[in-house]
Amino acid sequence: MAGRISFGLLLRLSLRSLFGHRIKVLIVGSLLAFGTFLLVFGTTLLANVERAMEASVTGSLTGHIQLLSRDAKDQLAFTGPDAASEQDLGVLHSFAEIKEAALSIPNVKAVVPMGRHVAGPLLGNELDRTLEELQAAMDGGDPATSDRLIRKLRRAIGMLQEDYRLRLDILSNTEEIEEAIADLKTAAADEFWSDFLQDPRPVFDFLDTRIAKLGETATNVFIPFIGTDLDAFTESFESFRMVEGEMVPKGHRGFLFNKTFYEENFKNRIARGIDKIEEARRLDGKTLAEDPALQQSVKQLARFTSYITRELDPDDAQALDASLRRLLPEAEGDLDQKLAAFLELDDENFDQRRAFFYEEIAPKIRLYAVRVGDTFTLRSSTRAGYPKAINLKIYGTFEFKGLERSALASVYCLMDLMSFRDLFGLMTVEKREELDSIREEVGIDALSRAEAEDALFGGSDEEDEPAFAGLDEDSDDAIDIADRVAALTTGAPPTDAAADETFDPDQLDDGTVIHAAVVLEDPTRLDATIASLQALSAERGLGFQALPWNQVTGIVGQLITVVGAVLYITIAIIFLVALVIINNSMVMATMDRVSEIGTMRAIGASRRFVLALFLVETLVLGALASGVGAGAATGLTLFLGEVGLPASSSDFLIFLFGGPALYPSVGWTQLGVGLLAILTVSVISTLYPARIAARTAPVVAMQTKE
Amino acid sequence: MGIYLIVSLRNLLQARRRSLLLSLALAMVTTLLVVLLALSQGLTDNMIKTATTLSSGHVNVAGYFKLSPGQVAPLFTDPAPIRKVIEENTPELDFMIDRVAGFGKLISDTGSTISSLSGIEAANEGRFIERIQLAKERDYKEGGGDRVLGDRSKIGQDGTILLFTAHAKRLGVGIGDNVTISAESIRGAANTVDLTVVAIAQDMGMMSNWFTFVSKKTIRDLYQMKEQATGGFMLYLKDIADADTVRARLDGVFKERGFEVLDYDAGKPFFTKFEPLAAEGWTGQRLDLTTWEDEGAFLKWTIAGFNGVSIFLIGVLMLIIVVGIMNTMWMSVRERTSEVGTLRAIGMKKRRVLFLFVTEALILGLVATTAGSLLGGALAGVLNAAQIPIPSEAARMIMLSDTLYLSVQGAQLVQSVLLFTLVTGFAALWPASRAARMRPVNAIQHVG
Repeated sequence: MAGRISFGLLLRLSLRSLFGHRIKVLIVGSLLAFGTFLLVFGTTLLANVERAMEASVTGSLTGHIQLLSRDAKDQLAFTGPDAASEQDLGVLHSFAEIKEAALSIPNVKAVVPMGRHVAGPLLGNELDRTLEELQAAMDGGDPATSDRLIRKLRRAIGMLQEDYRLRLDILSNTEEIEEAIADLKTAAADEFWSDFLQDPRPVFDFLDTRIAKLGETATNVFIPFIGTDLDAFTESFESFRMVEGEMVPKGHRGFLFNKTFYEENFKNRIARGIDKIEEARRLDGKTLAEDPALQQSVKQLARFTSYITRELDPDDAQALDASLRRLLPEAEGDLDQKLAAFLELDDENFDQRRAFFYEEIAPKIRLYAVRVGDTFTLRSSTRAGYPKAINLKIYGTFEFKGLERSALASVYCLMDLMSFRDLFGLMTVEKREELDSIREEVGIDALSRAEAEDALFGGSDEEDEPAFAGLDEDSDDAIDIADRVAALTTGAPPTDAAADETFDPDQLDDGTVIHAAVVLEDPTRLDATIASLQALSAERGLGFQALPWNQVTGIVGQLITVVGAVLYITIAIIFLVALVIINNSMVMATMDRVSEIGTMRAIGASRRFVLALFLVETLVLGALASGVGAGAATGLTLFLGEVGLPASSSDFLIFLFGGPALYPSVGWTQLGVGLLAILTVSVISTLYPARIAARTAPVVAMQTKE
Repeated sequence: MGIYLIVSLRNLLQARRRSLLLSLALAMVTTLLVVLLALSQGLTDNMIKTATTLSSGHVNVAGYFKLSPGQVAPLFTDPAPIRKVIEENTPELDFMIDRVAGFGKLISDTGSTISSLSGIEAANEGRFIERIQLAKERDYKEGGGDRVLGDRSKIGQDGTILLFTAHAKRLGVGIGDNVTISAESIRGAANTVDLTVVAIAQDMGMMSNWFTFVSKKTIRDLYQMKEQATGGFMLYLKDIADADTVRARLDGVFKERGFEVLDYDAGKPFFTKFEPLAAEGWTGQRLDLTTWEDEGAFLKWTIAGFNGVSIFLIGVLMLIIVVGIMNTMWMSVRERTSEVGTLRAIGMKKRRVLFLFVTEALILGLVATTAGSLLGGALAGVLNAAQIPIPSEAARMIMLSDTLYLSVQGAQLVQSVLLFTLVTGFAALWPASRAARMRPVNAIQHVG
């Protein structure tokens, strides 16, 4: 009974004294309120970013858990410098067993096999294409087209001659170049073409064998891709959706481009530039008049005109010149100069010129270097530097919903698992051994495994090998990959034609994979599921380890950790200093009230009562202040949740936010933790002054004037 | 003047506990500021050091040669006239080196990795070879010893390769092992060359992940380049501050002499230029002039970000401190109201009273911040000397170093002290002016 009365009294006394010391209340209160605001808002935002990133990562790349071999030497990373260099991750030997085991855990929804790799596309050059078209036109008996193509071809040969003369300036192997120049001279001469219509065979032969290979073949594009069970992938990753073309049919080999990657790397550069300006204007509300980055890209466009003029045949060039003259009567000079004038874009002419580009120019050029439906050659090299190539049909492009504009989420294209195994297959111990001839580490165990792997790979190696036979890693001689790949693609396809396009879907699981994504029913039970997976692996000797998604995202995941650490350190420092200052204010306030306390003590208040009085006072103040701070933080969060925190066009932010804007929601945990932390801080900062007060002897206190 | 000091000091000493607590807070924040400034300076130093050691001189004259519109090679076919122009027009020049650039795949028995290749000539690279810190064996080899293996004198010689620790680890090689480089020449032909690892250097933050050093001849052979061809000139000046002037002057001179010079694109390092250049229509030789700041520009965002967080943190703390000081001064004014009344009554001017209180705050501020900044300097020094390894890869990327590096500068210590002392004095102005405005009659009667 007595306790209850004294609590009511305590509360009343506290309120009265708080009211009586308004300045102190204001100072301490605002510090506490600010601290709460910072803590609650900061952690809420961080938690939201983590959740959004979790959604964008787990929904597009990694799944919730990644399984990989216990023997992995490197840390699996999907982004950052680790992902850019080749990782030694070992292999999961029997995917079927692992999948079956993992699926026996109730929370596991799907297990998707994966392997990351990088390949360079071998794009046929313009010369090749024109030759093909000419052949078709001749076969089809179309003299007008043939004539046009012949002129185009001769123009291209003329341009190549200049290129090769330049090579003499920098390269040391002059004989080869002289030979090429001689060939080009032959092909450019009128006599060479004089009998063409009567007997095209020798001309075609010469062009095919001597000239076509001189065309530009180097591309700077490297395509990072994930080799996977495409059906399982699309079913398991819910944000996946096709944009163009069709899904690779079950049991077929095929390639899918990530739409953003495809646009960025394979679209005509001017078209892509115009698209990007359009996107920035439409989605980000930027204007050419105000945005310096856009102005810079407009300036660059004018320098890229050769991307159009190089592609045009003489007739189209003339037609385009005429229509540009109509559009821009004042523009002078050759077609390049007219195009440069055309590409001087501003806010007023942008829409009109974009329309002109897509109506008049785009149909005359190859808008994409490779098109959906094409079959292209991908070449790659294994860890040992052993070249590999494969022909694949591009079935379509895809995107991850909400992450269309994030280049980070658009890094990986997709390939069927069988083709991936072919490209990557040489990285088996056996193949490495072939190259290294002696490796001491290779024990009996490893060898037998290699043999097993070989069997699992379905002997595709044997079919690949002849094309590259004679390749000696230690040789200093030039190895002309282009020639070999040409041989591969024309003469001997890498694998048996029938087997090349289709495969038995059962083979997907019955083989080796590098790692696998696990998608969960309930992501909140991540830790428990990882524990069950680990236990299962140990129990059945499956040899895999399970890693949570945030450990495999590479640099992006780590940056989040760093940002979080910086936030917490900042808040901790601020709290520490605030603690000292609050403590200081409290001591001051206590000193101020020494005589009051003395009086209380004199009329019978116990020390504990005085102590409790001070603590209650602080708690009330703390609760009020942190209430205000937390309220402000919640208000701001709700407001942002409504309007969204824009990622602007920052690629990194789009990935972190899981879309073009973050819509944060209030986190009760953060709110609770924030309030608790502030109350703790305020109580700690009161302990010392409260003890001073409690220790005050009544007599001394009443005597003190100050 | 002296009397104010004495009165202020007396007051501070009288309210010892209060003064001490406030000083503690002030000193803490000053310490923090000094450490943050030292870290920021350390980052900048790291950036300059990394950029000017690995990839850039103070000023760079790089060559781009285009065989066809789409093929860009980073080289000068005929560097002699370029060298002559630079030598004749750069009195600030300390020395100049040229390197040949390449890009390839490094392959060992157990691993492979991709790296850009810098072809150097041992005879000219004294500064580089001296700056590179060779790593201890255990840094790249499990169970390796504390000894520093490798031979600096062989760096840059034919048939040798200098790796950074990260590459050595990835490749699983040590000193004396073989590494094969495979690179693709202009025509898509793959060439390989075998090299011996003669030195393994300590990593220099993330940037060193992209660099490997071999002899010029190695790269020329890989790409079948002519012997006189070189990649670009790196100019080291007597004073790095002249970099912009020199770049601008050379730009003008080259253009005057009829060389084709690319438009200056500030903040764009070497490796970002290939793609846009490949899209431009011209062929032949062009020059590109940059400064170390352009080459290191992509590292700057970490410094900007770090400074942003620091400014925010210090700003918030400053606010808290100001509140604390005002509170303390407030108390002081209240306690001494009658004293102030007396002083005013015996003829002290209002301004003097104000001055008295502000002096008190300034003394407190000066003592506390001096202590704090000395502590901060010492702390930064100790942290730096401890060579604390940075654990996470992302943090290493941000710090541009593998170990924590702080650079304390005297000027920064003085600046921190001045800043916080002034802030303290400023915060005291309001309570002090309140004290000064009190009417002597009321004040003198005030009790408690």
